[in-house]
Amino acid sequence: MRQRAYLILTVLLAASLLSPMALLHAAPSEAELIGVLKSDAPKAEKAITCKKLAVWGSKDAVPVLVPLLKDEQLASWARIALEQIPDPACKKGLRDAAPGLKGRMLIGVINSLGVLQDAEAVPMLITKTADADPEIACAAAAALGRIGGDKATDALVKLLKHSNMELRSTAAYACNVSAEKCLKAGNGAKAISLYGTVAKAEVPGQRIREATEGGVLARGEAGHAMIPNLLASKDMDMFQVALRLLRRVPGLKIDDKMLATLKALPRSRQETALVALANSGNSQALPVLIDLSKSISKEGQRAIVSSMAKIGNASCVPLLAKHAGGADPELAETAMISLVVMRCEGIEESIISELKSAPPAQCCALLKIVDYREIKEGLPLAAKYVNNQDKSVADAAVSALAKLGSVEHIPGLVGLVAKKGPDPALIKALRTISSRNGAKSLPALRPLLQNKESDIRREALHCLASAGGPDALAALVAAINDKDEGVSDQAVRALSTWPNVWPDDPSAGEPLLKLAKDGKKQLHKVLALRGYAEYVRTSKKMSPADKFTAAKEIMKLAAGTPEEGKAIALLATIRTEDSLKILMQHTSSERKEEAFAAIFQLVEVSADGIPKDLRRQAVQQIMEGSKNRRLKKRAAELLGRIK
Amino acid sequence: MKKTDLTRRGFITRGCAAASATLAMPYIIPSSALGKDGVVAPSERIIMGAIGIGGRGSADFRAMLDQPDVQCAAVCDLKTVRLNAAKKAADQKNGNSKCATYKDFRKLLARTDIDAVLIATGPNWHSTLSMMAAQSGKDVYCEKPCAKNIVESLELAEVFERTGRVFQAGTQRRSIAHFNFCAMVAQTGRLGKLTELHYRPSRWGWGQTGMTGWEAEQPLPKDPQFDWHFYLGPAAERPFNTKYLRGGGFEKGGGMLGYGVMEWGSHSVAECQRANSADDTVPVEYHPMAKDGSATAVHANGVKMIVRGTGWDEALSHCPVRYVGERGWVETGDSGLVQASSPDLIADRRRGIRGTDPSSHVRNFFNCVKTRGLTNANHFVACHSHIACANTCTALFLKRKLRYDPVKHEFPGDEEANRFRSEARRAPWRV
Repeated sequence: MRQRAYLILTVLLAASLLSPMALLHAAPSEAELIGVLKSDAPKAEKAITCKKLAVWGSKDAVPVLVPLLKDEQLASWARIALEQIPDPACKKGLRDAAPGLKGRMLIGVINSLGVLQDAEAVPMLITKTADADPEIACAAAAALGRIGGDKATDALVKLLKHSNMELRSTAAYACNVSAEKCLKAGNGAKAISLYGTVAKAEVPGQRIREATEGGVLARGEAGHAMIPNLLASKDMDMFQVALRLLRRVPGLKIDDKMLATLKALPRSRQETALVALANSGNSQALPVLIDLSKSISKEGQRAIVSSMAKIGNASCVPLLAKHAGGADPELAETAMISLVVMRCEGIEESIISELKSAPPAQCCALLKIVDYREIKEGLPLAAKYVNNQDKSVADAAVSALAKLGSVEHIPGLVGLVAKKGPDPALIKALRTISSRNGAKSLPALRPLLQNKESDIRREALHCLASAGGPDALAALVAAINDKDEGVSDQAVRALSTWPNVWPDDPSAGEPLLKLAKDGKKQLHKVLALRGYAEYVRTSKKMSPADKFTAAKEIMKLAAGTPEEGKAIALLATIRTEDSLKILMQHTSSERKEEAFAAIFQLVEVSADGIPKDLRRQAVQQIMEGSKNRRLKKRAAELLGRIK
Repeated sequence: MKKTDLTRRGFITRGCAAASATLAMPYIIPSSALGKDGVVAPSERIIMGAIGIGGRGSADFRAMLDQPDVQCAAVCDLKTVRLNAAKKAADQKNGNSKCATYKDFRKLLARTDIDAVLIATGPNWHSTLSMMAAQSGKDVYCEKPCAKNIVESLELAEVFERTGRVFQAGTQRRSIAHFNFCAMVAQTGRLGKLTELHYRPSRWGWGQTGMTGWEAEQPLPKDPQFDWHFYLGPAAERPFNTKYLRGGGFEKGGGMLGYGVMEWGSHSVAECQRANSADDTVPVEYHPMAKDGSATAVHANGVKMIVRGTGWDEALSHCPVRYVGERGWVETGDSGLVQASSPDLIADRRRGIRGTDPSSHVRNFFNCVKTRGLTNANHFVACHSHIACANTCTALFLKRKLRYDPVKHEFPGDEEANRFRSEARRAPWRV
């Protein structure tokens, strides 16, 4: 009968019984799952069924799960379900099963009662702590620790005097766990008492360390006074506990006793303690860190400087500025990062204040911080320092101006260019500011255009291109006729890249086409043609028909020149039947491979609006005419898709 | 009129290469304490033991033996061949033949002269054994994945905080230069406000959520000392089958889950969490697999953590991550390649080591053993990254969106999902 029931269930679960994995991914009804456990199904299936009941089972499954606790192979699987089903019936089932179990199966049930924190199991568990099998006694002690409560902890404290060291250690650990529970429940006195009892017991050092640390933390502020003694302890274990406490205690006050202890520590210990303190996130430690860090090694100093990124405040700025401008590169770099990352009120004011009177190396570092942190209040100082005799300071100031400056800073920079020549840093700054402020920059840039030095006029053109706008464009076009050939060439270059910088500006198209047709030099014609092709490609205002007309114009101008390839590539981006036809005409020219590639691109990506027959014909041309094997293979695949 | 962004930079673009070290490696300690200045005094030596020394474990073990201030006193493995090889290597380093061998890790943990242990057993054991080691007073370097489910992850953090022991997850990318660099780029605001964190745990199979079940019984291995009971550890009872010896997906998940994101995800998710400065929390929302084959988790700060198998530059190699902000993106992977939306973002990158060499991670661990500091992949980092992996896995398994409370560590009002939070350990194992 049971076998038959199993067969029926097998049919019901046919899809999910193919493998244990498949079973896991299905969610049949609880009744079906219970049916499997009641049947003669193989243990493999019963095991997986237990896991499914862990997710989809209810108290109804408990009566079939509990008997499995006696089954050596299925007990662990049944416990998986019984620990998960959120119903008191599970705890009761586990409790009731315990008397009939031995060895590992009993330990499993004890462990589960501990996990479920079943207070009703405490009397039974206390009994089990006296079991002759030390594994069972230890399991019971551990479970009592998880459950907690007065009865459990009283029993655990008694076990601290047991003759078996393993049981004493387990009980001590359980006491520490219980103490944490007491603390969370607001019963600090009980927690302190438990920790104190464990710390005095004859248990392994690890338990004593845990209890000592727990005891200090449980006392709150009152416990802080214990830390100096631990720090000064000759016992390395206690010193290590102190290190952890320095890190863990929130808002630890550094009083006179603590300060004296820190100062009196041997150097290696002092350094380690300071580093622990630095990593505590406790800003109250800053004065002592700033003070004592002067007398420790560079590695120690670096650790402390690094910690200021998290806990630093305005008071750290002088020390950090000193290190940032100091001779040690690693320390300088770490200080720079802390200055960049620190987030606290008054930091930026303090940086500005330091900057006012800093020596050159520090000044340079602080100007970089003004740049990185984008401190606008630092702009007047940066504007002042651009004239500094120390080049590194001047460069840092120029860089800060580039990042933060506005139109009002352009005249000063223009004046410097006129005085010093087209220094790359100055030009870069001018371009950056112009790029950010657009056409408003133009009046301030004009003196550069009128400079008698041709190299300055050349650089001025790039600044104009960065600013953009109709006046800048007109100035560029006018500069094409500059008497200096270098300036003229540069004007053409700037004009030809205008569509890259200003893709939405339609006004460059006309002068570019005109120059491509009538340029005085072949170089000008070529650059202008490239610029015009880019203009057509990126234009959002031109219709496909307009673009096709323009592309034909480019084809005509580029005929027989290396630029013809650009025109072919442009056609590949214009989604019209006419584009494809023109490209197909080029498949017998010298540029046939470029034409084949363009055809493929056009047909594959931009097929809309082009008749299927024409597309097929074009792809067929690739397959027949191209020497590029990869392209031919892809064309064959594409042809299949078109069909 | 719109223009292309030629010159406007992000945040910091120069001079901050060391931020990676600073932000990612909280403890810098004097070289004199690290044994770098010559002979290490016996009192400064760290005595270690190793449990599970095959595969990845042997790479970790070699890196540990290379440390001048570390001495290996004992090794433990169920496979005799591996055990003997590890003893030989340790004896060679020690210049004697005193390295003890054990089949039962409990004997190794009972030794009071051992300060720290490497745990590189099958993943089934990782969390339970780590916690047992901490309880016996050992600092722990544990291979990933370090926990199988939410509760184990929380217990791991709790036990290490209670015992005060040092924990380092074997997610060594937390100590590898190019990963540190990219995290620093994200953390210091260079990318602007972060929006997305992309990762790929593995090329194939990351979306799988299954785990091993109950295979047909096979004869035990020929090694007479092989103990199936120990190998199985806290996983539910089942007969021996050679499939379980291959590692693979053996019980890496919690409840019903495993493999996929639970495996290599522990590396990549830990990286993404760090980039988001979110080592102390987990995403609050988890989505199932999308049509494009990706799965997204969302942090409380709105940053999306996206696992995807495709669309990566294969030159990045394994475990690639990409951090995306409003001003640009940066990406890296095991090849050591670092790429960004703009060269300015990575202009100050220093060349770092490539691949998965655990040496710097191992060193970071031993430094913290001495200072009692937090390691780069400490118990809090491991706890949260593993919970994020487990939750992603749960959403993939249940094929629906999940919401998670990162304070209470539960799925509010979602009993079905909550039942994936833990799994009973097979007796006698407990923590």
